[in-house]
Amino acid sequence: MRVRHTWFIVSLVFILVLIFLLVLPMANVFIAGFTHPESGGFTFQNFRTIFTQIYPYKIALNNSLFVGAMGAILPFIVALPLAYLVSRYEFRSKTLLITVISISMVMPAFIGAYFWVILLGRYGIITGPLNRLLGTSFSIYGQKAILWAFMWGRYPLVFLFLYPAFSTLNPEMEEAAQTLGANPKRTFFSISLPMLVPAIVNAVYMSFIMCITDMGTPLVIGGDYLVLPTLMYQEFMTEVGSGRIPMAGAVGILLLLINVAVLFGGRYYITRRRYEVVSARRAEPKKLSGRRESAMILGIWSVVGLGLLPWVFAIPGSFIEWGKGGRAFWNSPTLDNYRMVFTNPTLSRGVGVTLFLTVVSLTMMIVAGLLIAYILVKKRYPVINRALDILVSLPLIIPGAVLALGYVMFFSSPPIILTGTWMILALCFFVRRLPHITRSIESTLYSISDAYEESSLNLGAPPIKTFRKITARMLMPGVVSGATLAFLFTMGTFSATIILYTAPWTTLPILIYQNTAVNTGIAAALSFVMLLIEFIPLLIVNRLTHGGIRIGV
Amino acid sequence: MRRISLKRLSLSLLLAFALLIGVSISAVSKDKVIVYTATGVDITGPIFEAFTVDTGITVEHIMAGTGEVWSRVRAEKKRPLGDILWAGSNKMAEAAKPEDLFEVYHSPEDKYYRVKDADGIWHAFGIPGGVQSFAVNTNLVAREDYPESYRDLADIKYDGMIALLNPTYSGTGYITAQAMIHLAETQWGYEDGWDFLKELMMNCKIYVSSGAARNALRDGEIAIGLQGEAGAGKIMKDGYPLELLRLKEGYFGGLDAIEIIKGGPNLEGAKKFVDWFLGQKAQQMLADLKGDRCIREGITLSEDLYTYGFGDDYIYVDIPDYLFEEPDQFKKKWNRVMGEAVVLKEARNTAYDVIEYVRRLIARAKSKEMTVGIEEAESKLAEAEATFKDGKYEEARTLGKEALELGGALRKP
Repeated sequence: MRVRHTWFIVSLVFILVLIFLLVLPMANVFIAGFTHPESGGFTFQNFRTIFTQIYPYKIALNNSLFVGAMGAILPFIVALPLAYLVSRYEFRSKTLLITVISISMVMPAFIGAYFWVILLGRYGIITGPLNRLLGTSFSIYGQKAILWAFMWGRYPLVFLFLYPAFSTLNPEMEEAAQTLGANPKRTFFSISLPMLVPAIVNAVYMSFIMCITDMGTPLVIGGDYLVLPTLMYQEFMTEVGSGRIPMAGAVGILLLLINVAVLFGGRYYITRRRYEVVSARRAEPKKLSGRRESAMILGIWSVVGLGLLPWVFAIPGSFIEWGKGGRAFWNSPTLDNYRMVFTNPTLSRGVGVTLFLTVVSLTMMIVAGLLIAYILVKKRYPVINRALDILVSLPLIIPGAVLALGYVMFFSSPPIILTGTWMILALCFFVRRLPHITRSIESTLYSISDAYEESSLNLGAPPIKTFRKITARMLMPGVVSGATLAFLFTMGTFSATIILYTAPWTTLPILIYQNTAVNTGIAAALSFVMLLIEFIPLLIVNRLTHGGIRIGV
Repeated sequence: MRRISLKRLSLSLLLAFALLIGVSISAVSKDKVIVYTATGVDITGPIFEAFTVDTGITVEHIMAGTGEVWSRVRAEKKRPLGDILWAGSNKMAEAAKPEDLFEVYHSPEDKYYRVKDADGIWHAFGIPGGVQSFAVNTNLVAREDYPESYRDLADIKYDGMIALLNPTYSGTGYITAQAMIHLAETQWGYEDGWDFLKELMMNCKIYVSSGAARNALRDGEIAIGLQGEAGAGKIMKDGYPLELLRLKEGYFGGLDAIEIIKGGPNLEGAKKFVDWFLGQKAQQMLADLKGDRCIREGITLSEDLYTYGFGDDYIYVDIPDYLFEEPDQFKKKWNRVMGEAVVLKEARNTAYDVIEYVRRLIARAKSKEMTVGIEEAESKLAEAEATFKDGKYEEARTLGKEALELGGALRKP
């Protein structure tokens, strides 16, 4: 009896916590969105305004849908050939390549985007000299820059969906089709493509959602290009004083609804036309001869390297002097950028603040993730399991900025006031990345036999102790891989932080954003520092766990 | 997968924690003031550092656009988290007096200032970054095409070339828009200044932050943009092709000011900061580092203002304060008019294309000495041009098409 009791209470507690951290703040956003800005009564007015008033609402909506759609398609240009080649051929450094691609998936997109513009603007580091040489005026900016940055920022995600799909494509089926008389074209369209459809659709809608909710990229490099997240931010930022938060709420709801529609549309499409692969045999990647292998390595790494170019550039860029007008002086190396980063009280504190918030929220995530995953897999409470399952995965479709808006509204008045504290940030980070850890642990849990626990319980250990001593330990691989992803994501959180942060709790991504417009040298130095504090802990944990860290596939 | 040691993992996490707590405690324990500012860290850094050296008080800052830091102050009114607001003009602070955001303080340094607030709310100290004017990218605009008056900026030849700051988010943008309305009504004979603003908007790209607009101007993404003398000077110094325009109406704008946020965590520190900031040393640093035209007695202005800017020779347009009294109404109207401008721009550009096309055809017909219906077409075209100037674009397009019909020689054989 006791066993059942304890876990039942734990699951109830988590449902309550998630209602507080997720449902109630979002309810606030919904209420705001349907509130009349002047009279305070219920209204659809705000939505009517969005759909009828051209500037700024309709323009932002159209732009958002456009960059979302393009951001879902463009990454395939890079990811599709890459995934095909990597899955079909065997070559050295393949594991490293996949790790590098996985890591570039979680880098904060807006920082990469910013350095792309520094590199490829009209007077950019790369394009400037070329333009002068050729007498052209090539540049990326505004919409073009956003699309370019999305292509390179999201291809890792698309790759990580396509690569496993390509790997499980069975060449025997293609051979069979061709033996039966189908030409290569027909084979592709009626055999290979249908088997790839689920992966492609998954990649499309995930990439769409990430692009349409991205606030940092358009904010930093968009220029005059308005999209929904930036619009919501500005509505919130300027209107909060005179109590006109409703428009921000309405824009947030619209963004959320677009996400939901795309997600369910994608899911529905996949379930409608699912092809089961019966044979379990995987395609063996082909070995390549020496020279061909070298060519392959060179080709593939230069594409991946191109994607990392803005990041690589940030390193030397942080060790040189930048003119006040924004020009790079390559022949005057300096440590001044770093001197500023480490002596300025706000900048130097940023490192500590970021690590602190990440570690606190990560600890909460691990504890909660373990318990929730355990309940979801091992317990069979009728309504509770279902509710917990839905609640945990909700943050995956709620744009960070919209959730943050809800936090500002919900936690700024009684019963709980958290605005202005670090806790509001930590809780928001916690709830946003909880799904990653929970899902990762869940999938490990399925493979663990109940026998271990049962013996522990039979020997008289109480359920929580059994969980702590037996189950949690066996789950470590799942915890570490989920936590790694959550750690990297949390570290780079931008859109939620920019709405929630207050005076002494300025994180590194925010500091980088603040410096992008005014001081490239400091932005570059901060970016490099951020790379270091992202990856040094990873390397240490990796060493301590003897290579236990794995991201993605 | 190899076995993972739980002990080692938790040990390392624990270590990281201890380190972090150490870091945050060492940063919290000291006396500090928190400054909300729109100025970049390359300027605020040295100034705050000097303040810390002089007084032992640490400064932490929040940096964002003027509109953003102002809304933070407003949003936190119930529980202020900052001590000092250093962003925006004295006009903004004056207009915000009813909101009761700031602490009254009369600094002993006030006596050195010719402009000061009798209520002790704002402390104005200078024209930020020098006089604001429009600057052109010399690669993109030929010298003979430079605008001479603000009014010229609405000419269709600058279509898509000009950057404006969104007045609903940016203080500078707000002042610019009001100045245009004011000038249109008082100097250019417009009954409603918004009509001019609408014409201007059709040519503009609207930026949210001055930083983004400046970078777009520097990078040649736009050709003409609002720019302070000092900012333009910095860009020119770095070798970018920029030139400040001396438009005939002169310069408008407010003075930069700082305020003490009411109910902030460290009132004493904030007062010390204001005294120090208004003092000789800080103001001279500001003049040197940022190129502010400081109004405190005895400040030597930056040489850049003379090399790249207007020196001592500029005209000041005063914009009446009553224009700033209803920002919410203004915002709403601005968004609406901007929407109209977007639609109208389509019509304008189509009409313009039609007129240009007919003009070219007429010129060609004339050069080939073909005369059938040319005179009629020309008079119709003149009519179309006049209608276009009046802003009746649909009508102008119809007239242009009629001109095309009239000119028999214009039709292709």
